[in-house]
Amino acid sequence: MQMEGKVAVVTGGATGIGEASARKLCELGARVAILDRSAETGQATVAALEKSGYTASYFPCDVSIESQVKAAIAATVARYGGLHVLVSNAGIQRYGDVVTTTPELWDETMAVHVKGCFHATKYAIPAMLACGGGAIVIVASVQSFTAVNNSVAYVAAKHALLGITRAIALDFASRNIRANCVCPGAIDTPMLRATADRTGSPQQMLEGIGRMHALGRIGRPQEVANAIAFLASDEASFITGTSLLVDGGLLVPTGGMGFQESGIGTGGKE
Amino acid sequence: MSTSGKLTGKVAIITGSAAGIGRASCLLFAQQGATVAAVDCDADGNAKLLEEIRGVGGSAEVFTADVASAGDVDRVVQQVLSKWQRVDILFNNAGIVPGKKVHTLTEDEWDRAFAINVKSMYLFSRAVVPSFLQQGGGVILNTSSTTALRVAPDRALYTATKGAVLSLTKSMAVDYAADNIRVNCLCPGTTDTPSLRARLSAGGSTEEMTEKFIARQPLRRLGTSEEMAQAALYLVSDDASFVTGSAFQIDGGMSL
Repeated sequence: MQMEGKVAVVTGGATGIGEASARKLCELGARVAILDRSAETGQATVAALEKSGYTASYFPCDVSIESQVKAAIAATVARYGGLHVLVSNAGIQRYGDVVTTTPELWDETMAVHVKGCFHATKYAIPAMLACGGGAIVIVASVQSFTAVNNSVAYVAAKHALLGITRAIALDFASRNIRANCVCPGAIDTPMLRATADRTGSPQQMLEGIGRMHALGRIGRPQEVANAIAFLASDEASFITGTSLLVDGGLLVPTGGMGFQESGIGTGGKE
Repeated sequence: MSTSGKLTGKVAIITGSAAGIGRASCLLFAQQGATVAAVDCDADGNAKLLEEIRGVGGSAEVFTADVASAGDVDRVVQQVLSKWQRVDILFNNAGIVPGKKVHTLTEDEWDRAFAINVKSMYLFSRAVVPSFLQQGGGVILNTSSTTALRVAPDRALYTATKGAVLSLTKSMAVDYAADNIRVNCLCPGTTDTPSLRARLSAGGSTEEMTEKFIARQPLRRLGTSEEMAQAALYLVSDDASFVTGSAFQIDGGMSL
């Protein structure tokens, strides 16, 4: 697997899965543009990549604002001469059920996840077509298929990303653009840590979340980045419209691992 | 051959090795440093494969076996273990593609398809998992099909077997997750293999049939065995360390 000569854009590339993806794509030889709201972390991530000898740039970008996405992708193409890979990863975690969620919170969540992905793909695809094609990997979630408590906007947004993936895959298949999504379980990112910190005992919560996965642990950002890199690479040339679960088996057991652990789900085990 | 491949030092059993996806996977896994135990009922096809792998400096042995026979499967796994003292990867890939609708299928056809496509996976897993448990882990990959998720006409039996593979994969993923054994399945779409070519030429005009198959592909072409092998490599490698119980569709957008 190699990305020599390829140019990649990673939205939300400053931290977590985005940061790990940017590094993985760099390791494979790509030049990477990190688009992120946070200039401080974005620049720090680029500095770390450059220190490792890689070619990377930071472009300030709030994916929910069309003009910023358009400008950042144009700047990427101007700097590196093209665009071949888009990792649409930017996301935010927000909480609330449908009654407690304010319209502002709903709009904010949808703006970053769904409209952000719309903007990124809208401006990345023409740049890819100009290079003869490309590959898009959208970071969806296990919540693209299922729901967790008190997260209606997040769950709805992640479900929507599955639809965007499929629609793009179909619309651009004949023009040599592939679109797929990865659906991570709980991954050890700053976003998950922030969620855990909302509780009184973050370590206990992280361990509890780990046990929900069949593999008994939360995932590492690099493990999702590996999947993203594979889907973005030429080795995945026949894969389009697919969603790949990278969830440590989270979605497999009926009733979840809690049901298995409680003993009810292990009836008959020798 | 490779000292820095993704599978260096691993022993991989691959069934259905003489042609198509199995053959391409044997070549790719060997190229990535694995020692390959290639299992097929086609001794001639396997002999050619062995020559090709060794020709490029790869490491492999071939085994002629009926994957639906418990005696054959146990013998192969025993020989693999006595030769290399370990097994790290089991790729259950052997399969057949029966056609027809249910009212024209014979009971023998039904039983044979389930024996080759499903029972073989049980037999090989039964024989290999104890070694995985002893070694502290392992990886199983099963070949299902995109038709397990989106059915095709005149493939009731085939689709039923591949649906069973999907469920078997998920069940085994849960059963062995705590034992560090990952279990996933590939769901290939229409792939240009000898098996497909035989079906194309059996249906009258090969060109017309090929066009029909391509017409349902958003990517406007069939997949290649090499493309399936690349996905298999990803899933059995440590790159996929957090992937278990997944059904990975490689179908050119066919199921959209």
